Amino acid sequence: MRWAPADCRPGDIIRVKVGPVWHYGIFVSENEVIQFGEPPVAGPLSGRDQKIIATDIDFFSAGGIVERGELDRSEEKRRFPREKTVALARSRLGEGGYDIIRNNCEHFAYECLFGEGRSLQEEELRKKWLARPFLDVYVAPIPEEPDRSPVYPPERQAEIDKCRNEKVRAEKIAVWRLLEKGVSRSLGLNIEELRFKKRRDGKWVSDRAEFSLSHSRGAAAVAVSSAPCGVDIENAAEFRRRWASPEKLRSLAKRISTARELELVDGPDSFLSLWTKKEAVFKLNGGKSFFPHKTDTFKTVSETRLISIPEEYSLSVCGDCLSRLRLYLVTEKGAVPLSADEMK
Amino acid sequence: MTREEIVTKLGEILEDTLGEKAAGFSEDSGLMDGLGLTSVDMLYLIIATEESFGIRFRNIGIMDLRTVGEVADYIEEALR
Repeated sequence: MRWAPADCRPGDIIRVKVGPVWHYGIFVSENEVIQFGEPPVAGPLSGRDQKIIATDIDFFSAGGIVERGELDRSEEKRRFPREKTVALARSRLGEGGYDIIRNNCEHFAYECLFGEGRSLQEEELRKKWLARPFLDVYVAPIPEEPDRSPVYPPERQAEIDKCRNEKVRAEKIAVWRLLEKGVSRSLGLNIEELRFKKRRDGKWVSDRAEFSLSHSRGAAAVAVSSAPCGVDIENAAEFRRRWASPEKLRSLAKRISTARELELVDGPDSFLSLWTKKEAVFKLNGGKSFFPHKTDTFKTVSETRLISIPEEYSLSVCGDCLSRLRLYLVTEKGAVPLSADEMK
Repeated sequence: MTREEIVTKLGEILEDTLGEKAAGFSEDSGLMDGLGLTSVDMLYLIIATEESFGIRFRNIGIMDLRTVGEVADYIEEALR
């Protein structure tokens, strides 16, 4: 559809720019333009009880230049006959339920023309929202009794069912439930709106979101981002207890570190910080096999935090949108930003 | 070294890594999905196995070995 000022005929879709937005209507005559709500001359309409009204063209235009929608060939084929458009518009006079996002003047005009509502303004804004750079990381303790209703997609459920270790199975369920929440919160999508695939290297990917999963001994972490990302979480409290011996730690560190990295390891926490960084970077870059000593953490920027939820965990995140990193703790009450007390 | 000896020795390493959680393992036991080893545990298992058996895991990623039996296969092959 192209828009241009032109003489109008009954059943035309017309619009006028009012401030930053377009106001839409159905033209019947100079004395009858049917529109959802008044032109928003005094600001957004959402707060007022708007109805479908008929006004004259001068009221509709609010002093602006009226443009007529010129339909292309396929749109001409799809549109209702002009008389039907006019009849439909008239039949809805007085109707309310205005919603600036889902049921506005543009939806109304398109419905009268094509039978289905659509708002290009809304679609543009939605596209903008989805394209914004973000990296949200959600962390949650594994619940004692996870929600065992089947997860979507069935292939993930089948993978969970194959896991024989009860605790690991609970973690696998919990991390997917956390992904459901993350997708909903960060993208406004239901998980069933995404299509998932397990790649050959074992990584789960989707068509509408970049994400990364991690779970370990009592906690799950999920990164959801507009760009590729990697996340890893490890139980720091348990690690300190089990790897107190400096000799053992040294042998682990030597095995995984480049010479520069080795200089940074002086105890369990710095080791774990390095380890989670490496796993996060590996997840970001992808690949079939994880060779820690070949994963140089100096080559990829990452963030590592020590968080208490309430046990202490080391968490590393990396990704193209790292500057937009936001961390949330997910509890029954919802997702709350991790406070400074919970991060060290 | 017989297969049985290899698996027994592996059992000691698993016990050292996991404690009581390693009890009742078999060759079919999954390392991460079955016994619940974390990625750090896998690293330790690999290092301890190398030290105990005098072998090196070459060209094999930390999480490529899925079961106890697969580790035993690798050791058997390396000792041959």
